[in-house]
Amino acid sequence: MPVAGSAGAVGTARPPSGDDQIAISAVGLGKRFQIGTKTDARFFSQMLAWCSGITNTRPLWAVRGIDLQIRRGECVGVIGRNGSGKTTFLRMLAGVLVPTEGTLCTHGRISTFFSIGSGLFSELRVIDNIRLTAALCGMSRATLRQRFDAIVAFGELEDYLYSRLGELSTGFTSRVPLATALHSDIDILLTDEVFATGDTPFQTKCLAKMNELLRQGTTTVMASHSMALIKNNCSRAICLEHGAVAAQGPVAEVVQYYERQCGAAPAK
Amino acid sequence: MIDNFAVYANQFRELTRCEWKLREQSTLLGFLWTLLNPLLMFLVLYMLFTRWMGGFMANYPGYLLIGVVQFNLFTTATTTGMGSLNSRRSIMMNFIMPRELFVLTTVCSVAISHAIELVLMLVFLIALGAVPRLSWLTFPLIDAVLLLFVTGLALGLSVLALRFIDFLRIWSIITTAGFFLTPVFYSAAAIGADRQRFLRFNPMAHIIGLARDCLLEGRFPAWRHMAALTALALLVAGIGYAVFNKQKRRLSDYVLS
Repeated sequence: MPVAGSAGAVGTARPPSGDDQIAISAVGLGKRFQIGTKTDARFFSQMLAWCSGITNTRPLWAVRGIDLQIRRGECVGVIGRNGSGKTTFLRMLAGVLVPTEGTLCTHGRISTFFSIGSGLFSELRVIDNIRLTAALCGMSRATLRQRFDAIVAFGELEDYLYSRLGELSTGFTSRVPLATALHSDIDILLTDEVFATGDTPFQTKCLAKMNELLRQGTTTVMASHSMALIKNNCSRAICLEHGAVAAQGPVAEVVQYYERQCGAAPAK
Repeated sequence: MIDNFAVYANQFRELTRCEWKLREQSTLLGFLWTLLNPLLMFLVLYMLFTRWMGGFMANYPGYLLIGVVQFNLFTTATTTGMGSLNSRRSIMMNFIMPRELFVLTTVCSVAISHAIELVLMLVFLIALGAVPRLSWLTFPLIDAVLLLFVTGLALGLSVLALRFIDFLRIWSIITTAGFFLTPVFYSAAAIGADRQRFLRFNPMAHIIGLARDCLLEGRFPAWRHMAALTALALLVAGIGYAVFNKQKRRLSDYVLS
């Protein structure tokens, strides 16, 4: 159980409020990176910099001061311009990144999608990649055996099971992790623009499956630049600007705020 | 806790399977490609030291083969193990799993290939006239110590390889130097008694020496020697794990910055 207010505390226990219905609770969440290191990431350069005290890096707060509570079964949209901190925020929720400050409590098994084709081996067969993704999503071999046909049918991968993944189109490649994860036992689903490469029928199928999971109590946090996707699927949204929450509340209001900031025409 | 263990065990199995398939390209031909490196090294050194420079020592082919196979495990396991965080950064940034699994599964996939190499090596040794003896039963213990040693090294070095983009190159230079500073293709006796004391500080010289004594001479490893090597391997594994564990929370940061 994390201590409220401790720097970078992360936990999977019940949130401090003790409310069973809270799936995610973040208080003062922040993540700082040292940027500019890539040009200087060689061993001897770093040693030299360390000895001389000269460094080419500077701190960058990608996300700072986020307070948020998400109830079980809620679908929350995360919107914001490029570099606003959406992916960093989601990665912290997933436990992939450790917060620099603040407290984060999540309750339940988390499945994540941050990039298309994440965690896949293009040199291996589709069937091998399904098995690997299932394992990475926490699915047991017995469960995979039971759900394998459903996964393959969902992704329409029947004709490609023994093809190398690299031989498939980008759209089909993205179906492998999506179809597998949507059939795993998850309590919290985090997605970051993962529906972008799928065709309309597959997107519709994924959204229907997501709604089914929502009805079963799965919490969803969805980052996207598609305002239509956010408006149609989320009840609440947060808008990030320079790593901080600029607006949060009912999805229509937050989307309207974001579109006003971007000077864009409202999404239908 | 038990649930988590079952999940991690399944992840370990699937990742190892994928790593091995990638290494061996899932085919016999692919495995032969992997064998090519130690095989070519063996053939070149064998030709050089027996055919061209005259008889180097009795039973040289067996002596050389054991050295090449054992040192090949050291080089391949440490190099691929330390590069595993870099090569699997996409999984690391998208899935939640114990980060140690990347290094452990890579070393495990190398160990599977090594086990197949060992079977071929034993067949070759028997073909050369070596007689299987009771001492051969202690060989898995020596190999286990070597595996523990390389796993510890790979764990610690993987953090450095992720942090510094040129660390794999540095390690490649170190292993090349290590190959010449270890009696893989020459006898320790050939470098003179006064210089032999430097070999005492080389764990690979000890491990390869024990393997040769066990397989070629039929000698059981002295328990003190074996205990000292096991203690060293445990120490290296402990330090490697401690380094990895200390940096575990920052691994994703290293990928992004």
